[in-house]
Amino acid sequence: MEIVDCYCGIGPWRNRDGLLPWRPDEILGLMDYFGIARAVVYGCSSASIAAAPDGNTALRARAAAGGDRFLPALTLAPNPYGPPLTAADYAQELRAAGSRAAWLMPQPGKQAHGVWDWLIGELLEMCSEARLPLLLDVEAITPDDVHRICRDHPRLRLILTGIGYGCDTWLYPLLRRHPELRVCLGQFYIPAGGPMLFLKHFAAERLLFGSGLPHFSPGGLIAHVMYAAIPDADKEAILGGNMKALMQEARP
Amino acid sequence: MTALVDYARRGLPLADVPVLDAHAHVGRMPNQAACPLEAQVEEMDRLGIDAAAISGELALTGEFERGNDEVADAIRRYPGRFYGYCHVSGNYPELIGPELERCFAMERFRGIKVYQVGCRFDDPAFEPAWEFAAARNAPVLAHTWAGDLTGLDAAAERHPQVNFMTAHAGSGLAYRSYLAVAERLPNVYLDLTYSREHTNMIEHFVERLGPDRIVWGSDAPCFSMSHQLGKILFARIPDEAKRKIIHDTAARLLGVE
Repeated sequence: MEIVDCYCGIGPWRNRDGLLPWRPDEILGLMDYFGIARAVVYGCSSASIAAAPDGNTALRARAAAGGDRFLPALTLAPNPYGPPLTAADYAQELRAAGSRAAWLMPQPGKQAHGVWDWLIGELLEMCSEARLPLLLDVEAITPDDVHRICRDHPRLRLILTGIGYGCDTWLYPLLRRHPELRVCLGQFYIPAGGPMLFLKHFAAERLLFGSGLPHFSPGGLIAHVMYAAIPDADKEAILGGNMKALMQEARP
Repeated sequence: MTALVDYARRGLPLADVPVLDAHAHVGRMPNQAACPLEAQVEEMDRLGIDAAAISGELALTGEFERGNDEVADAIRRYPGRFYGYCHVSGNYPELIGPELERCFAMERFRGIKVYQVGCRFDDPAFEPAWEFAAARNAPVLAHTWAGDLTGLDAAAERHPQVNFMTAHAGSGLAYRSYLAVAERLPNVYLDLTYSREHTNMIEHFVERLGPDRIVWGSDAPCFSMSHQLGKILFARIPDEAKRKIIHDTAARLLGVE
């Protein structure tokens, strides 16, 4: 069973706690211990104050240190000043980086960007056209934002991270309404009943393993899947097969 | 002997390893699917959890007595699988004494569960609970969050003969305040029950405090037992420390043979 972590960051960020790892070699060491073959990685500095362009440059350099174990996922951000870094430019950059997944990292506050379609719609369409899985953390957005994104871009392969164990109230209706919406386990989508409950309602293809490294450790989430009373094929899909399939289909 | 991490890697029940869940519940969380008690016990069996110390989810809504009744019912329905916490509240000080007497007259109630919502733990309203705990040698499981112990340290300092477990120790990565209190007060224990798993934090707690002062809990049926047990089994600490965390320390506090 090849475990692929779809939710992993590398590199520094500004408010790091001393307990947390950040160097690529530290992350690789943890991946070895937890049996994670490959990780789809974002640049942690991209998540700090919406520093997407510089974070992407640093990410490409750091990801190279991991050989084929780090799969870089560039962070997309609107650019009010025009080229470079239009949607077409990002597509070119994704191709150059060998990136088959991307992140959107909206930030709260007026000096950053939200998920307003008039601002990021072009980027979302580019991802839809390229069948590029797009990761988005729900921390800075609302369930209604997710609904509007999926409604306006129905082909977008959106993967939500940061879903909590108590979010099924709004998550299940969104999953029923939007077939291309998917859920990452990290950091804490761990409702009682776990994958067994989820699979009673949705196909295993909609659930993906992602740890939240370097902030969060993968062990509990791996056990959460391995102890689930579901077929081995579904465990394999959740722990890595689903993300691999999505990336194979991506054509940035 | 199989290394404990290999149980988790392969999804095998800890059939030959004693496991006591020190922080679980019974009943339904308001925002989640119903989790029947039978399903909860099935999951304990699938993981190899021998027994769990539980309090009632209904207490979260203010229904303390009914929540405690659900605990008593679970103990009766599944002999040997559950121990009870009697949940009392400083918001209802007049109920504390009678409810503790009522619960501890029933079988297998071993501890006291408290929340700090609306009333700090160092409020005089909680004093009857701490005095009862001292008289009965009953440990206290106290809800805390993100490093704010809301007076638990003061209560523990005033009652050194009472053992206090700080639920959700390290939540929000606020591990320093938990460690500071536990290192200062030998009657304060860390409960690792928490929906997330901050990298290196369990290892840091064990290194600084030792496994004799640490317990684990699943928080079931709020969330996944396997995630909570898995993070202990996967921790990069010796197996002997894991065994203490998943059983021995809690067994000693709760008086479990």
